[in-house]
Amino acid sequence: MTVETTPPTTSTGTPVAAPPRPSVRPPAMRGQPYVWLGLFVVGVGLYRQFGVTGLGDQDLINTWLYYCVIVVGFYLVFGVSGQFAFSQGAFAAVGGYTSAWATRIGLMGIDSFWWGLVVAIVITGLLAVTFSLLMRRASHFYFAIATLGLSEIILVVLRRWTEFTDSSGDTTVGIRDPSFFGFTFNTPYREFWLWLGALGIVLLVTIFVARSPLQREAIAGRDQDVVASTLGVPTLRVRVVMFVLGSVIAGIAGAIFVHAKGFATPDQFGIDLGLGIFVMLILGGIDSRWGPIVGAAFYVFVPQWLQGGVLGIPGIEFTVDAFGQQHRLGDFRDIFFGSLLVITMIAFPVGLVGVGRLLKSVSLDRVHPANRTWLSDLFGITPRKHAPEPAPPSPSDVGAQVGDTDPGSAPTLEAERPAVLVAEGIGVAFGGVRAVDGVSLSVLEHEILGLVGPNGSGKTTFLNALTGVVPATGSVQVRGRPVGLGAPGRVRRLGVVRTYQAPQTYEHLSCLEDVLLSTPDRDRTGLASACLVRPAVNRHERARWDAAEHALRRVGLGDLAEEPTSRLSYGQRRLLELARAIHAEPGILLLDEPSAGLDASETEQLAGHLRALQGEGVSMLLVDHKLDFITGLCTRVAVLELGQLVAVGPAASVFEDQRVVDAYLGVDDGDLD
Amino acid sequence: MRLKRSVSALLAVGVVAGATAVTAGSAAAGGGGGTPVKIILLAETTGESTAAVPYYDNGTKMAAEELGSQVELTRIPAPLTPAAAETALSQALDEKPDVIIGFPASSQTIALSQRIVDSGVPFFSLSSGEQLVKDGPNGGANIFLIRPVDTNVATKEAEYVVNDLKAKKIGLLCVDNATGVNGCAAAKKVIDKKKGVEIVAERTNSTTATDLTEQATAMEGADAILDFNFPNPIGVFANQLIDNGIDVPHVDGASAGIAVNSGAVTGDAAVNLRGVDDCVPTVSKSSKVKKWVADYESEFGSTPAPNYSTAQSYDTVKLIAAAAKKAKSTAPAKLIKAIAAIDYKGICADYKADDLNVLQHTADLTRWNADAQIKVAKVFTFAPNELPGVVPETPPTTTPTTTAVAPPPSS
Amino acid sequence: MSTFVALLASGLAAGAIAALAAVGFLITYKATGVVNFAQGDLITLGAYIGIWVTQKEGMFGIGALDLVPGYVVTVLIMFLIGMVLERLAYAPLRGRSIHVIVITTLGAALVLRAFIGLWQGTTPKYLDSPLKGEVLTIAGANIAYQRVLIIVATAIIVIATMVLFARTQFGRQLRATAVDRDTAKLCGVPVNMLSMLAFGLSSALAGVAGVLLAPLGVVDLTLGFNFMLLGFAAAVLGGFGSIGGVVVGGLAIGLVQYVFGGYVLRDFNSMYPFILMLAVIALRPQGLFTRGSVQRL
Repeated sequence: MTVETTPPTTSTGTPVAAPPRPSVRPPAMRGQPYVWLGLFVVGVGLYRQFGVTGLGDQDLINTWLYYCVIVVGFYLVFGVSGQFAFSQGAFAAVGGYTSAWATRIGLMGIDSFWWGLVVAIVITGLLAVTFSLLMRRASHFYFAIATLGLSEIILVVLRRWTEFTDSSGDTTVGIRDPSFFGFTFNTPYREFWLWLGALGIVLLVTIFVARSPLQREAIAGRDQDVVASTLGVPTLRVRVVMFVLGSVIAGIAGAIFVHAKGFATPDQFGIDLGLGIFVMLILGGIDSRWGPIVGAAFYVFVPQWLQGGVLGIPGIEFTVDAFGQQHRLGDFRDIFFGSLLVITMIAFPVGLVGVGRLLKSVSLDRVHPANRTWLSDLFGITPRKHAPEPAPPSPSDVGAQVGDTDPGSAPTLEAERPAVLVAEGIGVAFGGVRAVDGVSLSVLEHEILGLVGPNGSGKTTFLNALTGVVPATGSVQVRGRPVGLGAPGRVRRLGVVRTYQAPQTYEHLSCLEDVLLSTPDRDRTGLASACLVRPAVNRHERARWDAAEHALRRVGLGDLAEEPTSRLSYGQRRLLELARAIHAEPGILLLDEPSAGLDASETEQLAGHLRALQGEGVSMLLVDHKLDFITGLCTRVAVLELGQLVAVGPAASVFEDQRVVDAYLGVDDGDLD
Repeated sequence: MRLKRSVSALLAVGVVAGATAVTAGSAAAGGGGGTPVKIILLAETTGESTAAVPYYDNGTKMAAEELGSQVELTRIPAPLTPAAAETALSQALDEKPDVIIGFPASSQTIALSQRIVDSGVPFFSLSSGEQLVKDGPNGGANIFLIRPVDTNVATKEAEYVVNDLKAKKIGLLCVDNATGVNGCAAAKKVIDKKKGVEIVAERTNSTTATDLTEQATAMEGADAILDFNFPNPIGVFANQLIDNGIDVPHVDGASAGIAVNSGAVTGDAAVNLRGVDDCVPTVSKSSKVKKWVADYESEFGSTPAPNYSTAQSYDTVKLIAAAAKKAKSTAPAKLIKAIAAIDYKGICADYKADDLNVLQHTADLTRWNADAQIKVAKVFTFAPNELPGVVPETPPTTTPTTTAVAPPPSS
Repeated sequence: MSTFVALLASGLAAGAIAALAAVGFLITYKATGVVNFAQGDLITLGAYIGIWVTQKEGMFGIGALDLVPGYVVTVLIMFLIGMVLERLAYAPLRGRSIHVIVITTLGAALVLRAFIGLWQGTTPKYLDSPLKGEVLTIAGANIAYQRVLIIVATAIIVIATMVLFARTQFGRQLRATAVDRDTAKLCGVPVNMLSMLAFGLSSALAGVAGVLLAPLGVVDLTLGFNFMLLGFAAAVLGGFGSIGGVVVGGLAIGLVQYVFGGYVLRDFNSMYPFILMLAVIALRPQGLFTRGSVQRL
């Protein structure tokens, strides 16, 4: 859609390349996460090599790394993907016991550690994917409770199924040491390197996920998944993938753990671990991959420090006489963490990492794009500069001519244009109320069909029905192809995109990422691609970023592409939604009161955008209240009242129809004294 | 006369010198030339596990106070889960102790046995799983069991049921962890050997069970119930047996006392119940023990009353001091030798290590009256090196040495 | 046959406790939209407070109360504790997302359990009941009167709660708040006070469950947690919607664990309620007793 400008030439006529416009990219692509990861790994390794003495500290560091791995997995499940799961500890148990079993019996003739790891990954993955698919219709609460139930079941099975666990009493012992190709990790020192390597790989995966479409899709599914589905995001697949990924990571951690220790008990993986994982992630910071690291460090080292020195830091040595017994500070560990959880939730839900970012942004006078602005707003720190007003779109960005097309002079007659969207007999009932009652409507090619009606007439519900947001009866065809109702996202595949009455933008994403959600190019958006074929992913991504940036420039938000959407004003968010719709390259656009809340000039701009789109071949169904906005854009108008279609026809004549007047103004029954 | 006076003077000097030498010698023998024996206790005093009790802490403290500079005692909290317990063990080893007393739960000790053995530090195990005997799969020359072996106790309980109670039909209940599994295995060995005795029903339960109706009703027709369980289920089960009219002796282990002390078991349920405590200091007739109980209660109060754990912890510290004195050193090898040779008469029992490194060879069968007052009904005595051999095959973590005991188990 | 009757009674009693826990959840949920993960530890706390009030020196040394007055006092104390919990763990978070609030109740549960451990120690204790040792004989089965009491008491409480919800001002206001909190506020419903009362009531129910349950066995720190999980299962079966539904759910849970689990694969009986729960969430997430299909909320 770009218009070529003639390149400038030098005096001799050779073309001088135009200075390249700095390319726009999602915030995750900025910064040097690989460098930080490398520094972290090297730093921890050096510290361990030279700074840690004492068996106790060695054990603690290994325990810390173990928790880091599990909680990073949980970060993916809960922090990124928003799935409230208590099952992380149970999956670690599954991974651990499966690996122990596979190596003990020499499954398929192989009894080495890496094979046990593979078996653990497979079994944990299968269990996770089965569970996730079975529970796909569960709401957040029910899913959380279901994971609790799953944990209980797994623990009962592990306690009773002694043929599998080979436990005497409840302890399984004699689990072989981890080893790779003959090198055995049988000392805490060696095990440290194994753990560090595992953590490094797991953190690398989180970087891969963050730098691929998967992260923004997971966030969209987390924050508003119905809207995400209507944009074309495969929310179920993303949810399952993230859950399986996080659970498999737990399984790997469990496998390494039981082999490194040489023993396993079910209590190791019980509710204490489940709660502890929560505490670690929340405390550390739910929004960052470093949150688990910080949280686990806090969880492991602080209680030890409270009861007497750790890592060379001398501890606090005093005892408290409470409830008739002498207690050391470490005995108050559970109360400490429980209260800390409550306080964190109340005062700083972004966790320690979030607080760190806040301090950094205060000192650097800059807001991290992923920061929740409520926190910075609370302390009056941001925004230092307000988001700039949208620049009026420049001619080169808009594409086809904006011009003053007179809607009355449509090039072809109504009757000759095919219907691109045919809705027949659409009905939506809530309890006894029929919000939409047998509405049949067709949108013709290249037209903007207006849909008006008093409040409560069912306009939004009608759009909801078409896009599968509410269950509905009737049938819909898009370009002759029937589309099922009742599940969001189905019409999206046929190029039908909608906007919402209140702009449904994602405040945890940047504008660019928000727009990218509706992309028509869904190649290489999955986890496997993100990890294994990054060059291909990046290639597709760059094309997508360019297209999304172009859409943003069209609506005048180009300069705000990398800003978080939470910094936009109401009008700007409307435009963002429009940009998102444009990026989708829709054939049919369903607009729900797009002018609501806009002033006169903004409305005029909006009209310009819509006309431009119409000129590019997009057909539209425009729901709105502003009648002059409607009549300025639409050749035909339909009118709904109380869920029923009252009139449909040319704009000029529809508003003189008595039924329409009655619907809007009420019937005069002559009682005006 | 002058000669006599010089001789007396010489004698006096000689006596004084000799006395000084003797006292100096004994002072020197108070732990390797005057240095205190460094003891670390690995036990938890708060937390959710039933192993978090003050007995070990108080018992060891009391002994340490009495011994003064002979010992140096510290406690490192050891959470129940073996992995956290391992950290505690590592921290203990960092302190370079001379002796470690530890791990109330056998799951902790068994899981960490390799490390304990490798460290070479004398380790007094507060739990007594059969795996931990000297040549068992998780034992070692430096691991000593303070308590009688659990499967031996279970065997004696079963023999009591079969021989003393003369039961012909036995109901068997086992909790689903090491206590229950090992106990029931030992009991079944005894029952299988006895002709004319059969098991009417065998059931299991979880440690947190609150309803054992199915298990109780299944035991109808039994002459006696043999139960290896945890306090909470015992409290439930003892009452449910009575509710269902199964008014027969209900023989359990150490947890029976805890259940009765909580108040859950009274009346007929209490009268039917038998428990096994390694010793019961509060009803002992010995004046030495009575004095000890009085001293304890004046320092630590009488709730909870001192029990066998308290007494054994106290005895262990004193035994260690005595061994160090004899060895005149705190070096591990010498200490281990001294402990293995010692014959120490303590509050709870007489301790003498056999070839399996088991120190105590007696236990008390306890009974209660309707008001839940305890008395000792019978004393079990265990022959040295006696072992029923019920532990299932686990890969040995120590290089096994040949031994004349413990035929290969077949469970 | 007598075994079956005995198991039936066990199942009904366990199901009744689960139902009590579930009704407690329901009340908090309807008033605040929050599922209170501290409910299990509140049950435990109820049992321990019962012990504290009726044994030794009693509450703050005023002397041990008799059992039945002690139970009543316990329930009242639990009511107050519920209101305090609302002030500390819920009110500061009003308006935040549900995740935040649920996690906070988790933290509150941790604190509660640790506090009980420090306060009462971890040696098992016992709460007595006037019905201890009494049995009812039906069809050859001996059923402890305590279990009968549990069943009867739960039935009474459930009916009382249903009447409360359907017929009283409080109940109406609660239902209005459950549907739309903001509109209820606009209509003059004192939603903040209502939240406090709901938490208090829910905590009082936990106290009742605690004192009913404790005399059956020994009281330790994990007493309530397992029943909270069963309460979740019951609430899920009932659809978190109606009291009748969760009660039937609770009974189903108890029966499947003790009656079904008394005959089939006994060793695994404690997992049957959760398998049932998972099946319901997978197949009919809105619960067995609510009508209409579900929107993934």
